[in-house]
Amino acid sequence: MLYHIGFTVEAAARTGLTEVWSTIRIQARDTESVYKYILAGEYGNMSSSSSTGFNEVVSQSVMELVDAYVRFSVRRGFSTYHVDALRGVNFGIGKGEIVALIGESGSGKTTLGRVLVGLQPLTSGKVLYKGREVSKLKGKSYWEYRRSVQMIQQDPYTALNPSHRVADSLTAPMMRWKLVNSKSEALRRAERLLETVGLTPGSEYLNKYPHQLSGGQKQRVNIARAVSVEPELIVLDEPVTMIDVSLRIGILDLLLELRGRLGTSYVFTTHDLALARYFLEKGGGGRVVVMYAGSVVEEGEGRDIIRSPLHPYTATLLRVSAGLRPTPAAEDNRGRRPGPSWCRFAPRCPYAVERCWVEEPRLRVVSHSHRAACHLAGTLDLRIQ
Amino acid sequence: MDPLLEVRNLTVSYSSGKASVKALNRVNLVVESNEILAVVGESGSGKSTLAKAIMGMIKPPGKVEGGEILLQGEDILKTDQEKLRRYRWERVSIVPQASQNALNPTMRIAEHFQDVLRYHGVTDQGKIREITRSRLEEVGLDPDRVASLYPHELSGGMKQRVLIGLALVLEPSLVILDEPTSALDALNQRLILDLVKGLQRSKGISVLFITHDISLVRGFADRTMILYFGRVMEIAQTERVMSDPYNPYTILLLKALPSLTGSVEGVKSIPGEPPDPRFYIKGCKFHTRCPLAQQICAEVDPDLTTVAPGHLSACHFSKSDVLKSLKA
Repeated sequence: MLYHIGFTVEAAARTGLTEVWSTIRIQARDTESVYKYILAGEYGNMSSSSSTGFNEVVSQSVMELVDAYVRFSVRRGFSTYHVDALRGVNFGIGKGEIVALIGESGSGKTTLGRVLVGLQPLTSGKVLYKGREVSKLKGKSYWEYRRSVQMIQQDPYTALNPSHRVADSLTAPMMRWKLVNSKSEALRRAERLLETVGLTPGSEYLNKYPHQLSGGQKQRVNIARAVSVEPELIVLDEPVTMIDVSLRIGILDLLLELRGRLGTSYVFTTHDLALARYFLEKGGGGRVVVMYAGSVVEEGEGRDIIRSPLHPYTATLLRVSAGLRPTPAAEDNRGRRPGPSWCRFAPRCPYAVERCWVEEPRLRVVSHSHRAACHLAGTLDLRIQ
Repeated sequence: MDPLLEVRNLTVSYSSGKASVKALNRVNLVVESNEILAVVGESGSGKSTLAKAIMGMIKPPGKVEGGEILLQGEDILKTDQEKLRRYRWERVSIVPQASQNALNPTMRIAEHFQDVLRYHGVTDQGKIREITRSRLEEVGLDPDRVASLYPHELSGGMKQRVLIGLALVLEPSLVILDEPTSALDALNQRLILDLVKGLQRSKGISVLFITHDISLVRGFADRTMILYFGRVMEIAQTERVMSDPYNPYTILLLKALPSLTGSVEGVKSIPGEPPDPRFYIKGCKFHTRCPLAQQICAEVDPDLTTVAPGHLSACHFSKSDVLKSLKA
């Protein structure tokens, strides 16, 4: 059995652990063995041991978000209104792992990605890189983090400086991070990288300007640039949404191939479930995190989420992706005014009950490693068929 | 019955300096009354140019080099500017992508409707209010709530609905939808398409649905046309195009789509890149990427031929058995 354990502040306090922020996934016989392992404090030991009843440590955490809040305040004239982009999000990703982050625009998935790469500060909560709080990192260790966590954006056009040739865009990061000893070495590496991402001959592409490349080619250059600094985690923010439909799979296959070679972790943000499923399955499996209105509404292994979704929003997305009609929201929900705490999906939910309008459901485990934030989770049959 | 819209041998080019590129190359299409026709095309296909041409909005550096666009028998390309001004919105309108800032951020929604109606000669305030109310209700929005809001106060889905309402305000017979669902999540996409279909059926109007995503046409469009690099590759009943295509580009396009169920092994991108519009391709525009390409494909650009009733394909091998091998 594979357990994915996230340590929270409370758990750490109770068990007296010192290195508290790691999220690890371990193979163990049963939950009892897992707890013994935690109490024994041996999670830092990467070798397998039989004394506490576990078989193998699968992966150690690269990044964690703990109770993350991001609030944007917007001033319009004399009034200010707030947009809560992230509301109490807990998220973790291990070494070499793929996590598909599903949500529509406004769900918080892009904000989460930006928080991970250090482009967006939290309003409250913690961001951890390899167990250490990012906000407390200084000097070399901070820059180590910034190099290690890269992003590939949706829009291949705006990601490249139009006045720089491909050679400049590619060699600059390598030079900046001192991964090479000379410009000529950087150019040689850049040429090889271009060929690795399918732009052959590399020498020809080095001299091109972005406007001479197609959208797909620009995105490949962006990918080459991201992997050139040998990151541990790449946040892929809807990387193929602006690419022609007939070319998307090629880009995803390239990303998976690179991961096979470099062991990079990916956070793959998308609103397209079919793409997410392809990416996870081709990549050998991974987790799906579904976001809605700034919080995580469902989380689990990709196969489980698709086979038996627990949250009505996930089920709706699956139905629509499969070409089926979405189940309509309950009629009496129109124009209903919610109380101070309520489930954000209630207005569109076919199953909403009274409780959903007065109490926001918390994310809880329904079956091993499959969690959902829904009062009715586990009681509804949401399977598509 | 005569078709509502007929595009005959339309060629539109764009020029910059000495180079001239054909965005549409002898395109023929027909939209009947009371039907939804989908135009599926990826980047460089010419689909946006087609929408602009039908709206009479091609201006330099764009140029109509030949052909006719007949709406209810009248050629748009031979109509003077003044008449075109009336033609736009009263007989043909367009719903742009909501993400493209088509709404004026300094104007409330009601003011958008007022603006359009006044421009087209409706000045009575009572009438304006009445039309605004009907259109907003029709697209599933509460006029009491939405009419006084500014665009930034609406969600993406709501903005798209407003744009649909605005396009219907003068009751045109043809509405062009230009990628109306990009930036919306799968659920909203479906709801918007269902809304449009409902309106189309109840009003008996025709819809030209322009998209890059072929997976959206099923259950929505009556017929589907596939456009590649300015040429029509295939056109037929939607169900036939999706399940029994007769053109290599269509076949490979469908194979490039991942699904929720079904094997991930058979999914493959189309090899190569979309052609660079600056370079002329002799013969069939798809031959540089087509696994079935032969000598003739590099020399002769195939015209649309009938392969089954109501089903046309532009391929030298559309009636040949080699197509079957590609479908496997």
